[in-house]
Order: sequence, then structure tokens, then C-alpha cells
Amino acid sequence: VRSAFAALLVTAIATGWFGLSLLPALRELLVRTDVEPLQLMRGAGDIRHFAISFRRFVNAELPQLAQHASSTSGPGAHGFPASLRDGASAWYIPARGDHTATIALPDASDLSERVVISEAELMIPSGALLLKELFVDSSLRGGDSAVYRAVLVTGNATLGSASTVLRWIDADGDLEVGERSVLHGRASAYGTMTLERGVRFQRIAAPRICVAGLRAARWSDVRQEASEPTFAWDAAPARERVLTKAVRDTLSLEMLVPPDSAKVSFGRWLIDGDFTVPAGATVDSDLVVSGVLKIGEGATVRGAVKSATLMGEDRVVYHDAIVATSYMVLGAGSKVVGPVVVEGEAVVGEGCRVGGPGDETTISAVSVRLGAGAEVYGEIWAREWGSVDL
Amino acid sequence: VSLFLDICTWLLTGIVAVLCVYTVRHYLFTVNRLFGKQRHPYVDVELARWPHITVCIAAHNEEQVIAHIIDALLAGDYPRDRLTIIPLNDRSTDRTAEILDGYSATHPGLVRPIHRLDGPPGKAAALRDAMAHVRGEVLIVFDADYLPGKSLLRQLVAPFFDPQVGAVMGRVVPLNAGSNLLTRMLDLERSAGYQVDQQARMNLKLVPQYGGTVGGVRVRALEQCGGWRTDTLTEDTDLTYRLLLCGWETVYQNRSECYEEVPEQWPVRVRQIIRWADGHNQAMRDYSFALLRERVLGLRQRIDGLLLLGVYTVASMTLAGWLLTLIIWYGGRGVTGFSAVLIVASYNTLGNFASFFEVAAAARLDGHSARVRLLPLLLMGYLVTLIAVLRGIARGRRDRSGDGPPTVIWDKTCRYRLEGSEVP
Repeated sequence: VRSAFAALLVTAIATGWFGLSLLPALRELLVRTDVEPLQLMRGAGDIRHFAISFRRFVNAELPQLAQHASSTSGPGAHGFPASLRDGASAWYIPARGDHTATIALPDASDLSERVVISEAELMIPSGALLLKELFVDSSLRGGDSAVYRAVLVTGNATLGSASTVLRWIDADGDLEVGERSVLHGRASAYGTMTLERGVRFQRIAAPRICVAGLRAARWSDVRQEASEPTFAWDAAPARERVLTKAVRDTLSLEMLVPPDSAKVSFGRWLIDGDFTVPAGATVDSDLVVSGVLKIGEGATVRGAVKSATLMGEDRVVYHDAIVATSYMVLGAGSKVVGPVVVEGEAVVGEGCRVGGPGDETTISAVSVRLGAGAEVYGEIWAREWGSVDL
Repeated sequence: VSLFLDICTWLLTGIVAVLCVYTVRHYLFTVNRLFGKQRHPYVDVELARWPHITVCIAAHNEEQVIAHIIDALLAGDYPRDRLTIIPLNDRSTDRTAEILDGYSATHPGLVRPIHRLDGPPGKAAALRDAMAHVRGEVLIVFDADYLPGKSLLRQLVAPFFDPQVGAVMGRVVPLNAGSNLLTRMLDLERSAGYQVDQQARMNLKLVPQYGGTVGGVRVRALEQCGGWRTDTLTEDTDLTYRLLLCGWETVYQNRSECYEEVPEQWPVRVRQIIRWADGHNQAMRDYSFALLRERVLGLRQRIDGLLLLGVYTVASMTLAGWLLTLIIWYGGRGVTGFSAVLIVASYNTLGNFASFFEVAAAARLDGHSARVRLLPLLLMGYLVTLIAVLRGIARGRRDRSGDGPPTVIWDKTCRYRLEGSEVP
């Protein structure tokens, strides 16, 4: 009896011990504290995600602020303090009858902790520190060395030299970024974004992003007059990507024939190792090179390009995308139609053009260096840092 | 008897060695996902000259859900002038055809359904028939119960700018995760399979798997490797390997997420696993040796490819290992060392694609702190999987009754969403 009891006891203890580990599972099964499907991040990747949210927030606040302004006797020439509905402190500058007047934001230290909402054109003093959001329903002129947390401007925006944006900036018009400024997070404009010497950035987007500083003499040197590249996917349907001899003859270009080591099929050259496209040659296929791909001056690649390292010389025309798994250099005056994806550093040389007017594209890389006079139509994602090297 | 026991011992040694390799693989993936460098090279491509694409939706009696996915695609931000939606109505007997014709009438040129009335059954056969109507460079495929988000098509197309990419796979997220114990367990399994396993393979430049839905194929690559095969139950696994052998990469986009419905009933789940196990094992038979011979692929890709092909044999190997241990022990040989290793290896290889610590890591990465408590109950799911896999190996899903070659037997997966119900 005692041994049977002992066996039962051991079994009971063992079962209990095992059951103990199931208690959290059984509790979760019965109480159901975490049953919702995974929330998908839909839309947060849009570069203007925060700007759109803030615009919505400000639009909801403006009627109340305007009403407050009309009921306040003698508001200051530079605006007056207000409270937002969520309790946040704000500084409100109402619209003026004279739309050309520029209001200078008072140089007051307590403004750094207030959301600034201006319906008039605004000038920010040098060295200002705005650690809350800034909304300008007109144009903005920022002084040197100003620090902003987040900026939304419905007109043009100019940031003085050595300015810092901590989270995001969005302008409905043009955005000019003064030299040695730092744009953390996202910067976007619906007009042209101009970057001066020494600007550093992370994620920027505009229909046209241009880097200043290319001397006129150099400009004519690097910019080619070649015909505009067309995107390869548009140029030929997939099944016709390998051009027939008859078509090649009509193109009268110096077509490069694939090397013996290449596996050629379905419009693609697969090359194990390094490869060089001679200067002036035209490649009619996609190029996939496992090693270093060098593309000589003035060459044309009508397909997409992928390699570990891409070393492009000056004035190369890429009709499609570029993918590099470690490093990429675009020589001066090169043109790229498709997106550029680099899992390392991307160097965009002087006077290069990526994308085109009305034909926006993306540069994505761990780090990006832009040369003087470079133009990018679309978006640049520098996961660590982008910089303007003049 | 001695020779028999020797053979058993050698077999056991082999099985334990293979299970240890899978154990190391699971640990490697988990550690990589938690602490390694993460690769999402194409996720930032938001602006580009987007190519013309065709979206195919396989549909057999999908009246409950077909409108949801078409509405979701129409609400997307992919340029309309570069998009063709082809719902593949595969001999539906419900209102699917009527619903599709309605969309075709309201979106002429954009929604162009194909009504299949005969021919071999199944998704691969339907896709093969659709190829003559596919426009553009890229073909995106969804099952009818999926709910693509606004930007999903762009996200899935972006990798095709890379001329080495032949196929793209997005992440599948169960929408009915909280329905019952089974869906909650499947939610955890899916999470681990994609969040950890697929992404780790992407990080390590191994062989992410094209999953047949929430994914796309480059038409050129598909043509090069022979198009859709209709004699397989897992056309997705089959295609992954044919692309690989033709020098095309499959890439995984972890942030290209899409809701789906997972089975809410155990018999449905069992049939699903049987189908996967059968198709996967067929791919293993078809491509293992070709993979070993292909010198263009790196050693790491070949090893990972082989391990992925063999993933549905792990359950049967584990079972055989324990059986051999008993035989050897009752034969009078000591098996203490083997048993110890087998215990550890068995525990670490439970599950199809993801072991338990992969599930825990995935739950952490997804920010789910509470649902991971269900982890011990996955043992029950594993036992069901084990039985289903063994049934899949033993029986197969082919009809050999006719005179011709055996044809695949397709099971219709149940849908649980009510027609007209609100979807996110």
C-alpha cells in the first residue's frame, strides 16, 4: 500500500510539476489578453506621414486659435501665447492684412517649449531653438544655426546655414537648405529642394533635389548632350529584351558581345567574377556581375545592372536600375533612369542626374554622397547618413 | 541480430546527425534575427517608373471573400495604367463568376476575369492558363482570402528592379488569429516562419522561399525555367528551386505584410499539411541532386536549399530515431549518449519551419508579449503536424485511378469570413 501510495504521490507531483508550466498558457487561452491580429504598418513609410498628421492637427486647431485672436485685445506684434486643445502651450501668429509682411519670431527662450503656429510669413532669428513643432501657413526664412524639431510650411522654406532639423521638415513649395545644415529624419518638398555645401541628411524627397555649387565651366564639361535615356521596361516588352540582330543593326550602336564566361539567357548576362564594359560601348541586356563591374566612359547600359561593386566612369547612361551589394560610384555627368539600391555607400558624382522631370525615382543606400551639381528627381534614403561633398 | 543492431545504430547515428544540423540551423536563424544585421534592400524604393504588372487571384468558390481582395487591390496606390487584375475563376459553382463579371463591367480593361470550365484542377493549372493573358514584366499572385494593403503591390514589385531577382515573397499575417486555439497557434507559427525563418534566410543570402501567394514572379524568369508545373501540389516550392537552378534569386520582403485567413478547423489544417508535405517531398526528390550539382550556386545556398527541401522529413526522422533507440536498447546495446542527443535534437526541431524558440523570438520581434505564453500548447499542434506529415508521405495527394499520369487532388480550403463583412 505504501509503495502504491508513493508511486501515486510521485505521479501526482510529476503531473503537477508539468502542469505548472502550462498555467500561463492555460490562463492566456481562457482570458484571451492578446488575440488581435498583428497591426500592419500601413502608410507610416510615407515620407510625409508625420507632416500629414501634423497638418490635420493644426487645421483642427486653427479655428479656435483665430477665434481666440479676435477676442484677445491687442495681441503682440509678434503673436501671443495660446493653449491647444490637448493642453500644449503654443505661440500663435495670426494672418496679417499685409500679406507681404514678414513677422520675426521673438527671440524669447520660452518659445523653445511652445508649438509655434504662424499664419503669416515668418522669419526665425539666428540661433533659435524650437523644440516643439513649427507650422507656417506661408513662407519661412530661418536664421543661421537655428534648431527645429519639426517644421511644416505651406510656402517656400529657407533654412540658414548650420541649421538643424531634429525630426522632419515639409514644405509645399521650395526648400533651400543652407550649408553645413543637418537634416535628421525626413525632409520633403513639393517644389525644388536645394542642398548647399556640407549638408547632411537621412531621408529626403522632392520632385527635384539639386546640389548647388557646380562651376559653370565644369558644368559644361560633365554634362552630356546625349539623347534622353528611356526606361528599359518601357522600351521593350519582356519577351523582346534580347534584341534580334535585325533590330541591333538598325540601332547602329557599338554593341558589346557577352564574354565567353557569361551565362546569357532571357535578356541577361550572368558573369561570375569581375567585368569591364569598355568606354563607349553599349550593353543591350541586364548585367549581373558577382564581383566588380567597371563601366567605361560614355558607355550605355540599356538593361538593369547588378554587381557587388559598381565603378562607373564619367558620362555613362543607365537606362534601367542599378543594384550594388557593397559600393557604387557614378562618374561625373552620368544619367540613371531607374532606382538605385546600394547595400553600402553610394557616390553620385558631379553633375549626375538620377531620375528625370516627372519621372521620379529612388536612391536607397546605407550612406550617400552627392557631388556638386547632382540632381535627383524623387527620393533619397540614406539609412545612416547622406552628405553633400563639394 | 548483431548485424541488424549495427545497421540500426548506424541509422540512428545518421538521424541524430541530421537532426543536430537542423538544430544548429534553427539556432543560427534565431540568433541572426535577434542580433544580426537585417537586410531589407528594396523596402525604401517608393518612387520609380513602375512596370506594367498583372495580378492573378486564384479563386474556386470564393464568393465570401473575392470582393474583398479586389476592392483592396483597386484601393491600392499602384498606377492604374500599369495594372491588370486577372481573377482566375476555376470552375466555381457559387456566385464567384457573377461577382467577377460585375467588377469586369465596372472596371473594364483593369479587371479581366478568366473563367475556367475544364482542364486540370488547381492553382498551378489555372496560372498556367492565365499566362497567355498576362501583361508586363511581373506577375503577382494572391489567394482569394488575402487582403493586400494600399502600398503592397509597389513593395512587392520593387525588388524586381534587381535583375537577379526572379521571385519575391511577402509576409503572411493571419487576420483571424484570435478565433480559437488552432488559429492562435497558427498565428505563432506563421510569425516564426516569416519573421524569423524567412528573414534570416534573406539576411544570410540563403534561399528564401516563394510561398505562392503575397508574392510575385518575373515573367521572363518563369518562362526560362519552364513555366508553371501542374503535376505538383506545391507549385511555389517547386518554382523556388527551378528559379534557383536557373540563376534567379528569390527574395523575402518582411515589411510587405498581407492579411490572410488561417484554417479554424483541425481537419482543414491536417489536409493543408498533407498537401504541403507531399508537394515539398516531391520537390525534394526532383531537385536535391540538381542542387548538389549546380556549381553556380554558393555552398551556403546549396546547403540551405537542401535543408529546406528536407524540412518535411524531420518529423518522420524524429519518430524513426526514437523507434531505433527502443530497438537498440531492447537489443541489449547501450544508447544513453544517443538518447541524450536525440532528446535535445528532437526538442529543437519540433515544428515544420520554426522551432519553439523561433516562435518566441518572432513574438518578441512583433511586440506580442502575452500570446507567447501559448507556446507549450504548440506541442499539441506539433503532434497533429507529425501525424499529418506521415499521412502525407504514406498516401500522397494524387489520383491514380485513370489511365493517364496521376493528377493532383486539390482540397478547397474553407473560408470563415462572412460575405459583406467588414475587413481592415
